[in-house]
Amino acid sequence: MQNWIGMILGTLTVRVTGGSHERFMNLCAVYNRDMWDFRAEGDSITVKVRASEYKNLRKAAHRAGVRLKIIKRHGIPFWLRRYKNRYGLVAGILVFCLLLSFFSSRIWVIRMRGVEGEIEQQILTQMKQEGITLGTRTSAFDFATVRQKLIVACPQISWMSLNPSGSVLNVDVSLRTAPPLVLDHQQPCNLIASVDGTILSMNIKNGDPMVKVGDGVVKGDLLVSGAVEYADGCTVFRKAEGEILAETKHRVTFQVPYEQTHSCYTGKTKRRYAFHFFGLSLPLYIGSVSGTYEKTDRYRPLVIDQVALPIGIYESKFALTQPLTVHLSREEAVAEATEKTMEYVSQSLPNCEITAINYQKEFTSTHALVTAEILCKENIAFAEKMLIFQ
Amino acid sequence: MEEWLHLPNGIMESNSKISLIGSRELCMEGCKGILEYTDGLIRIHCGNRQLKVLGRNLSVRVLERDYVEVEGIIFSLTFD
Repeated sequence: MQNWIGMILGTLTVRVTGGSHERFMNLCAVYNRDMWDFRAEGDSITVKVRASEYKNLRKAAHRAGVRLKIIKRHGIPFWLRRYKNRYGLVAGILVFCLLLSFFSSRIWVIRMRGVEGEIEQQILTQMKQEGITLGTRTSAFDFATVRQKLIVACPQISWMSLNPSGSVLNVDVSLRTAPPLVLDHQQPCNLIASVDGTILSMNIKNGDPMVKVGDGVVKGDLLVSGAVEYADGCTVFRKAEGEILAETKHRVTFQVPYEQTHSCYTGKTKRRYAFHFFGLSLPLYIGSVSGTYEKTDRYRPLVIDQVALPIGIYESKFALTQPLTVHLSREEAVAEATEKTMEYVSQSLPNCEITAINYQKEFTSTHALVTAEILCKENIAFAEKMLIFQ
Repeated sequence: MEEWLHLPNGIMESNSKISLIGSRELCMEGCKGILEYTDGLIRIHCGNRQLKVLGRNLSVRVLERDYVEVEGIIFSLTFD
C-alpha cells in the first residue's frame, strides 16, 4: 500500500551524510515526517521520503548537522514532469482516450443468432429504420422498446432480445412456428373448372358429378357438386373432392426480331478498392470507370478470433461490356422462340403433362412471330365454397 | 490495579513492548529514539535501558515517535 501511495504522490530516495544521522532520524520521528526504509550504507544512510515532505526535512537536517542529497526520484509526478514539454505525447494520449471513449460507446458489430437469409435482412432493415446501424451510440436507444417494435414489425418473430455487450450488439431471434394448416372437411364446396378443356378422366372421392368423360368444359363450369341429393329427397351439403384430368390448350406468342443488340463482355475487367473503416468508406482510387459494365461487389472484413471487425476492404469488380448487334436468320429466330416456349412451359405450367406443342410461324421483314399451341393434360378441378342461405 | 481490572500484566506501565517475528523482523513500541545505527548494529533507547540489536543487513523500515520496526537478519538482542 505504501508503495502504491508512494508511486502516486511521488517518492524521493535521500542520502543523509555527515553529522549524526541517528539524531536526524530521531528528530524526523519527533516531527512526524513521512519517512520510511532507512538503510545504513557505511557512514551514511539512505531513506525514502514523500516528495512533498522533503522541504520540511531541512530543519531536522540543520539541527542534526547532516547533509541531504536526493539520489532517486520515483512516482508519477516525476514521470509526468519528464514529459511536461512533450505536447505531442500529451495530445496523443488525449486523442487516444477520446477515441477509445468514442468507439467504445458505439455499436460496431451486430451479431445475429437464430435466423439467417431473408428474415435476417428484414430484421436488419427494420433495425436500420429504428436507427440501429453500425456506428450508432449504444446509450441512445432503449433496446426494450426497439425490441417490441421489431417483434410487431416482423410477424415471423416469436421472441427476440437485443443485448449490447461493449461494441457488439447480440441479437437473438426465435422464429414463430406456423400452425399446421387445418383442412376443413365440413365446409361444403363444389369443384369447378379452372381452365377450358375436354375431360379425359374423373376420379371423384366425394360429391355429385355434373359432367362425364369426353365433355368439353369452359372455365367456371361446375364439375362436381357438393350438394348430394338422396333418393328420399333430402339434400346433404358436402365438400366435393376429386381429380378431373382434362386436355387443355394454352396459346403463347413470341416475337423475335432478326436484329438484336446484346451486351457482351470485352474481356477487360477493372477493380476498385475502398477502405471500410467504422462505417466510413474511403476510396483507394482516383477517377471512375467509364463505359458500360457489370459490377460485382465483395466485402472482405478483418476477422479476429472469428469476429468480423468493422474494418475491411470493399472490392468492386467492373466487367466491361460493349453493345453487339447480332443478325439472326429465320431458323435462329424460330429456335429462340422455341427456347422461350420451353422456358414458359417450365415456369407457367409446372403441374401439367405436355402432350404436344404445335408452332405456327409468321415472318415479317423485321421479325419472326411464333405462336405455340401447347396441349397438356392437367387437373382442372378447383374447389369453390358453396354459399348456402338458410 | 491490573489484577483488579483483570488486565494483562504490564499493560498499565510505560514499559516497552517488543515483538519478534522469527529472526527477520522486530517491532518495538515505547521506543524513545535511535542511539546508534549501522547495518550490523542498532541501539534503541527504551526509557531506562537500551536494546542492542546485532545482525546483518539491518534496516529501519518504520520510525515513528514511539515505534520502530527493524528488518534484517537478527543475531541477538541485548539489554544494557
